[in-house]
Amino acid sequence: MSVGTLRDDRGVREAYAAHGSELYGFALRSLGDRGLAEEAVQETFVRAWRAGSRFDPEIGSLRTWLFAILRNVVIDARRARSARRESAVEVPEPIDEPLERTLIAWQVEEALRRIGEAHREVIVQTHLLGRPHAELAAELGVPEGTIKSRVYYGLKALRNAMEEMGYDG
Amino acid sequence: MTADDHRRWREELGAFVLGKLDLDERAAVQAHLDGCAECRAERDLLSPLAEILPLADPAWLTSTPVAPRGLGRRVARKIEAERRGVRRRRLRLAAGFTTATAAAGTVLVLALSAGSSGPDTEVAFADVPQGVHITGDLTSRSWGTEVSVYVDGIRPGTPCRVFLRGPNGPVDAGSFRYSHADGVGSGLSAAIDLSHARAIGIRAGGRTFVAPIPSSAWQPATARRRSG
Repeated sequence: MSVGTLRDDRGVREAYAAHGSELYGFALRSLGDRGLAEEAVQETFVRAWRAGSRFDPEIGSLRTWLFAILRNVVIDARRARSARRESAVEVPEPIDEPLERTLIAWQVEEALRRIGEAHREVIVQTHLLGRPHAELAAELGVPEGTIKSRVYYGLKALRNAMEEMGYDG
Repeated sequence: MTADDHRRWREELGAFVLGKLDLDERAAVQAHLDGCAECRAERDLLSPLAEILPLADPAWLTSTPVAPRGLGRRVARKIEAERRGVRRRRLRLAAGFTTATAAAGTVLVLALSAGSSGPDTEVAFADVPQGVHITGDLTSRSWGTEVSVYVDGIRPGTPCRVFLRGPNGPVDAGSFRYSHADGVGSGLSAAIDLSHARAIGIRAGGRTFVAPIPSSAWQPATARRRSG
C-alpha cells in the first residue's frame, strides 16, 4: 500500500480489512476488555490517518506501523486505567503484564491458532498443560512416537506462522 | 544412515527442544546432533520457541477473537469526523486570513479552503428511519459535482443509487452496494453544478431518502470561497 492511500477512504477501508482483526485481537489480549479494545483500534486508525504522511513503506510494512501505533495506544489506555484505579476505592485489580511480553504471548497464541488442530493440540496438551506424552498418546489412541512427530511438525508450522507475523527470534 | 533413520531423529527434535525427553532419549538425540549439522541447524531454528511458548495462555486459545461487526464502519466514521474537524479548522483559518488581508486593502482568493482539502457542503439526512444514518459530502468540480455518501444501518448488500435534484429534475450521480465493511459510496459524480443542485437523494432498496442542500451551496464556487 502506498504512502498516500491511508489518507483516503479506500485506503483506510483496505487497511482495516487487512489488519483490523489482528489489531483488535492484540488490543483485546492487552486490555482484556472488548470495549477498550474497540476504542483502541479506532484510535489507532485515527492516529495513523493523522500521521499518514509519516508512513514510509521503505522502512516497514503498514502492518508493522499500525502495530507500533496500537502499542502506544494500549500503553496510554493502560496508564489511564491505572490512574483510575489509584483514584478509585481500594479494590484489588489484576496487574497488567509488561506489554512486550503480552505482544509475544499474543503472537504465539495467534500462531497456535493458525496451525493445524492436531499439531496445536499436542503442543498445548504436552507443553502448556504439562501432560505426559504417554498419557496423551493413550487418550488419542496413537503411538507415543506419533505424539513426538506431531510436536516436531507442529513446532515447524508454529515457527513459519510466527515468521509470517514478523517474528525473527 | 538411511533417510528414514534421519527423519526419525528429526522428529525427536520437537520434544528435545521442549525438554520432554527422558535422560536416555536426550543423550541419544544429543549424540546424533553432535554428528549432524543439518539437525543442529533444525534444532537452532526450533529452540527459541521453547522460550516463548510458555507465554501463551491456553485460555485465550479456546476461541479466535473476532473484531465486532461494525467496527470497520465506526473506524471510517471516526476518521471522517476527524477529517471534517480538520477541514473546519482550515476554513476558520482561511476566514481569519481573508479578513486580515481585506482590511489591508488586498483581495485574496483562497484556493485552499475547499477543493482538495474537503467537501464544499456537508448534508445530513434528517428524515430517515431510526437506526439509519446517511450523510453526504458535495464538492464543486469543473465538470459538475463530486459526491460522497456515508450510510449506516441498512441491510448489507442493498444497492444504493444517488442523485442530485436540480431545476430540471434529478441528475444521476452513480450507485454503490452497501456493505458492513465500509458503508461509503465515494467518488460518485453528477453532471450538475453544485450551485444548481437543491437536494441530494439516495434510493436504497425500495426506499428513497432526500435531504435539501443548504442555500449556502447555491452561490457559485468562487463567490462561496471568497466568503469563506
